[in-house]
Amino acid sequence: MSNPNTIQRLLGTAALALCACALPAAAQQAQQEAAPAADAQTIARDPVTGQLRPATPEEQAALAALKSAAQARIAPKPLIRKFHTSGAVGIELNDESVMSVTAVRTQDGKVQTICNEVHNGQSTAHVHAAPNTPVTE
Amino acid sequence: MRTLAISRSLIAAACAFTCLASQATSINVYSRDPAGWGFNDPTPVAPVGNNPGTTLGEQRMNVYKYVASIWERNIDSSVTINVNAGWEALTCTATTATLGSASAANVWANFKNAKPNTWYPQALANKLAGENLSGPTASGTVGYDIKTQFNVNLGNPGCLDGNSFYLGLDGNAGGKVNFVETLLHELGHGLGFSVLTVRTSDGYRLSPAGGYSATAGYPSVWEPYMLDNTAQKTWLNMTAAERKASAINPLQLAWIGPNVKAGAGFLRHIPLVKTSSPAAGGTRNIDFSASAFGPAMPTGGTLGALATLTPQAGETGPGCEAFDSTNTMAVRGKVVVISRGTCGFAVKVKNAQNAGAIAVLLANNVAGAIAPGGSDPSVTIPSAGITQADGDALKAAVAAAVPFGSRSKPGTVTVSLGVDPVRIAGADVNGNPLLYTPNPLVSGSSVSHWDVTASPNLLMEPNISADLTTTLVPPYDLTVPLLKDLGW
Repeated sequence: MSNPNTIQRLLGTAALALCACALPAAAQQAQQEAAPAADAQTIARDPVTGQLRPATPEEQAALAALKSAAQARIAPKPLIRKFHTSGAVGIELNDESVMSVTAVRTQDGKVQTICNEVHNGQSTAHVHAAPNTPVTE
Repeated sequence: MRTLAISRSLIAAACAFTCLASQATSINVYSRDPAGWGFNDPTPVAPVGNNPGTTLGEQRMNVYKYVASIWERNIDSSVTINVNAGWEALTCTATTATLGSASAANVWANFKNAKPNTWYPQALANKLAGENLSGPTASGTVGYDIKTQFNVNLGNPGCLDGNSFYLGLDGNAGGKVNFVETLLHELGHGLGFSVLTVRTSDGYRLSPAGGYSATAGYPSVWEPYMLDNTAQKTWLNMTAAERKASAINPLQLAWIGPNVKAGAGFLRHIPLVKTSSPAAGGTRNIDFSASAFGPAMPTGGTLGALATLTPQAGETGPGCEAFDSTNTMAVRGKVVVISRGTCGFAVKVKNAQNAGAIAVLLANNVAGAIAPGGSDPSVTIPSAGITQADGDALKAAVAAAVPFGSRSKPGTVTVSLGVDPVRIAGADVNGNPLLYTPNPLVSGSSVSHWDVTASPNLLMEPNISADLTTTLVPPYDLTVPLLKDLGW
């Protein structure tokens, strides 16, 4: 389990992440190349500014470490086949198909809600906002 | 008599069509919460934003019912849609939080009225089949269509303190998380706004045998409408490797369904900064990315003359300190180009504002575009990011224009704003809206949303924006057209 102080330090060094919803093509590509992946399913409160923002990869790793022991005990639910008398075939889906959602309040006080995915109840460090996260300097 | 028989047939057919088109859809929300928890939380609350509930649990359920009613008005099905809903203590700390999640619970193939060997989410499959495929005659353990769960502790101490869900129905969420829009979005996924049965990390499809396969899986009902403009193939006709590549092919995966195509005309053309100069090479059209702070750039019209900065004695970086008299005179009443570096974008813009500039173009200092981030509520002039190459060209244009004036009134470069006559924000060159395909992959987000470049913002973009409405059809949104392309 991660030391809370370590998490706090990570939070303190995290960059502000905002979603830019109308970036030109080149901008989107650029941000994808520049911004590290982080988990937008998870948001963080910057310990310096007190504002909400998407969690950085480091924060995600710290949070994942907090959860890891519990997650390790959770086996992925198997995909279950279903049958209908008409001949139709079905599958009961597991958490691989779940779409998760989170909110972000940026430093100017706006709240943004971001949707992504979890696997087996675990956030998998994939983020909507990260590829479009503006750099601040 | 023959005429009468034909007339009756026509009337009957018309009635059948009318009845089908207007059939009432019913969405039932089933709580799985125990007594005293979640939907049954007895904590007294004041009614908020047209939500008349007087307990926290009532207000939560009222939002679900309200959102369900929106969906009921937008889709047609004779089969009741069942949503299994609960509130859970999802992972969170004082600074991080999982808000919630949702998914279709089951997928079906080879039912009545289905495309052969094609996966559909259960709610849509039921609608097309005209019956609940998970009814009493079906095997399996999960009968409902959509499962949702949201964080019961959000906003409490230790769980993103102070930032709870806004349970009003009026959209005035303020600093809270707008639960109406959030749930509207998530139920959209559950109803079918997701490629769902294709694993975007490797392009494998869900197999009827129960696993994912490169070759033996069935395609998703989405795939015929997913055209990769690079490969010039739909996902339906791709190999798993090709689908994997397409999922990370930015701005190249278009939705070609007819309902979306017909409704996409409201997407706006890409905005441009335009410069005009008496000197050669000074007239340009430039893509820009709006800054995350300050007011938005105007959508058109002339902004003003362009200015550049002269390096100041002792400066740490361009625009990072209060402007000296030379730069203050240069930028007053003008649009100033400032290069990225050393200090925050907001600092540069604020310094320019303090010197009297009316707008700032922030030029990257490395290759590629930038979306200037940062925050400063006191910034009152617009700014935007441009590429390093464009920034260099504008600086050169300012210098080149000077000789075209007089000593007292040097020639200038004029900045205006306009739109690209061809390119559309969030659509390909053919006007087909784009799916979200960043590189690297954002698993779960990628593919199953509209691209973030769409303007105006759409409900099913990955980022649920504050300016969304609860209207799901053009000219506000493309959610329902996509679902109709699938068969809704």
